Amino acid sequence: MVPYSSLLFFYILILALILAAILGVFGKSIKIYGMIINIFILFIIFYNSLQQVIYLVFFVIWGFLLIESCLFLRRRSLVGFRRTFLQSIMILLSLLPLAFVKFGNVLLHQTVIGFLGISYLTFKIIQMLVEIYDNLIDKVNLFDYLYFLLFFPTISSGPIDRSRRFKSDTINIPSRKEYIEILGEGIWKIFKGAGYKFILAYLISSYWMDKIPPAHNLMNTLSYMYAYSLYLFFDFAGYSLIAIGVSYILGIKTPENFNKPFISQDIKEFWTRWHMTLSFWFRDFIYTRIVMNALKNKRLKKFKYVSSYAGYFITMGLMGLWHGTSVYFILYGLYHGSLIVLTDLFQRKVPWYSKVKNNIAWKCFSIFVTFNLVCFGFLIFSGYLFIKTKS
Amino acid sequence: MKKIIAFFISLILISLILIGTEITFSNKIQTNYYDHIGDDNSLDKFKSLPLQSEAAKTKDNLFIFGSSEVGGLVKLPQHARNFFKNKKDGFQVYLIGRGGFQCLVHAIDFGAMGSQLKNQKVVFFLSPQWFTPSGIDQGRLMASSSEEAIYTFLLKSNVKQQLKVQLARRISEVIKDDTDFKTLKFFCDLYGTDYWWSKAAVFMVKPFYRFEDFLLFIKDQITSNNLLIDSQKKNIKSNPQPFPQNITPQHTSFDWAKERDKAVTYAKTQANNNPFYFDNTFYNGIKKDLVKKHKGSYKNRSFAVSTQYDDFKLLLDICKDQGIKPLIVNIPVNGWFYDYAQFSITDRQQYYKKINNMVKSYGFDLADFSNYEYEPYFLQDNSHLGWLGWIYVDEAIDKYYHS
Repeated sequence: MVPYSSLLFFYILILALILAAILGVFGKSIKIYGMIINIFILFIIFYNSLQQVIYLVFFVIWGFLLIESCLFLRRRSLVGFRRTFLQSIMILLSLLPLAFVKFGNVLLHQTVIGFLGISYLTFKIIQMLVEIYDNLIDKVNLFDYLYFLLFFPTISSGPIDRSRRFKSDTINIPSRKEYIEILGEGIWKIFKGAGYKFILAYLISSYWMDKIPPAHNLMNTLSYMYAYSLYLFFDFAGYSLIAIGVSYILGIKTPENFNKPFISQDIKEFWTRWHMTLSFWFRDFIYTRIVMNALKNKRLKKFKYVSSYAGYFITMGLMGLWHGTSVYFILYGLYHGSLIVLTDLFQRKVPWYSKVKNNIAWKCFSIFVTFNLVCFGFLIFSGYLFIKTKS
Repeated sequence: MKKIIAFFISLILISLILIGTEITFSNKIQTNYYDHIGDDNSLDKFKSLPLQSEAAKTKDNLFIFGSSEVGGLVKLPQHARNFFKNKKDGFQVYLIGRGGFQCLVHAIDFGAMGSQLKNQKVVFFLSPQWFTPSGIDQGRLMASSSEEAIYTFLLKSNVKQQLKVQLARRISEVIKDDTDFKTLKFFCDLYGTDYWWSKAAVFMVKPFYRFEDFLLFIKDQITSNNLLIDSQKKNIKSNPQPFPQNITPQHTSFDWAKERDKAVTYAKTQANNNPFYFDNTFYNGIKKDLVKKHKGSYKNRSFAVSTQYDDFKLLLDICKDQGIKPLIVNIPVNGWFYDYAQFSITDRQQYYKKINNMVKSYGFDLADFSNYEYEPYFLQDNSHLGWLGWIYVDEAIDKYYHS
């Protein structure tokens, strides 16, 4: 059963969450019960695919072994190149299962079937590995690891939480009054999300997208571009809100994933409002690492902006590639990389920019332009331009 | 706290709206209902439980369950719908079935209607073509039956538990590879497992499925009410008078020998260009493929082994359990054509015999026409009742209704 896809799933969820809410209202820790219903809901999600369960179990053990190895390296006080080298190997190893699933067709010449949510679990494990390297995490308890990694509300498609933030939510038990507020917030988010996903996204998809004639002329393509962009937003933001709302009921304040992305004034701002947990993850664990490494190097230090731009291209390129090996995913990544670089150049090099940037008309114009650039990006992403139609 | 209160108030409002809708449409259907809807042969009508209930309430409806001969080919003047039009023989025919409606579909309907069909006149037409080795497939089942009917059967009817489990298992089996009806499949899988843990799970999810069934029922009510209004509108366009709410029953005594002669005389003008006694238009349609495609084409076919027998048995068991006393009509195939296609005659004979024995063992009324394979004009093509066939069946229906 795919999470949040059917009314039945919600019903089972409600049954499971009632006791959690009661525990919360009485100011008790929900952690243990949370783990029990976590296993139960995972069973409901995967019950008809033993294969996925086996992969999942192996993946979880694999992740834990890598984390333990990194902690071992840390305890041995290994420093310098050797530690960095070994740590990098660990991170590459943690990427292996995901790489096989995403690029199996290229690497092994056959499609590898993974399990629901493999990408998001990989992100979580890498975050832990990197933060062990950064000396931010010094020990990982098996229970905490399992609860964080397999936390069912966000298992299939995020939002991507951070282990230290997650853990602090399980330790700091809210008072009755606080919990009731969190619970109300959670229910509110679930309904708002359901409204986005099951009403708005559904209406857009069945009364707009599906009604567009198959011929790819300018009008149809534009129509599809806007319809698909709005659909994608309401569907994904709706899903995220539901996942966040369910987490709240379990006392976990999973971070927000969307913050009115279509009112962004430039592309950089867009990426702080769209699929935020993913873009922050890429920012923290890829972009800043690239730029920091470049700046450490004396010879590269002179090329501050160049390395930053390279960082943008690599980050966005990887993000595109993460969606799959299709040409349009890679193009999508490079498109956004170029947009960020061009925006940055424009804002730094054009002399009149600083004069007009606070002007209300300029702001509206910027929002309009950004919105259209973003929608065009989604048009590339959708693959619509790459479908051959007979007409 | 405010948000939690808002949540509970919205829950109450939604419940009130749903209950209000249900009551409104239930009243609307009662006021809009008219006898002529029984003649309608649209899919929405065949699937509608509210209309079927209304028909049962009128006490003078005769339900005909079957497949394409019932609701597909309805043009012949001898078809029961036309032959008994306007309650000529005291009853209104209520058709249910078209291509794809096989034993399992009707078994679900019988269970869902349950005791409402008790003391009703129920005629059930069997088609030999259903009896293929694998029986009904998932596409036909889900196109012809409905989630609503299945949930109503499993949750609301008072059919024996053992039969419910049997039905759930059978549905699970048919839709095992389906991806469109996952919620249904989940329930049938659980229901059919029938162990202590699955029973506990069924108990836990029952409230959800009752709610789902309630929503589907409201949807069905709205569709049914629209159907009543739309077919009345269509009727007013072509007829001077709208359908009356109730038709006054008439009492006609038929001279069946004369009716048969009339049918044959008429049939001779319709079927006279081929050795199979096929309707001319039908024959013209297949003529060019006759030798190439049809000769010997049934050589490897057989009615001997089929899951359809189990579905038929389930249907008979449900009838017995619910006190429904149906008339089962055993319809033959076209002997000349089946010989031409080299379908073994002993195989056919065994099928008719098996059906007859099954029906007799339950003590239900049987109209057996297995000896009419070579009766000219009994069928209009290779398998569907024709001019003369319908007269024979009409006679059996007349006798059954007035017994």
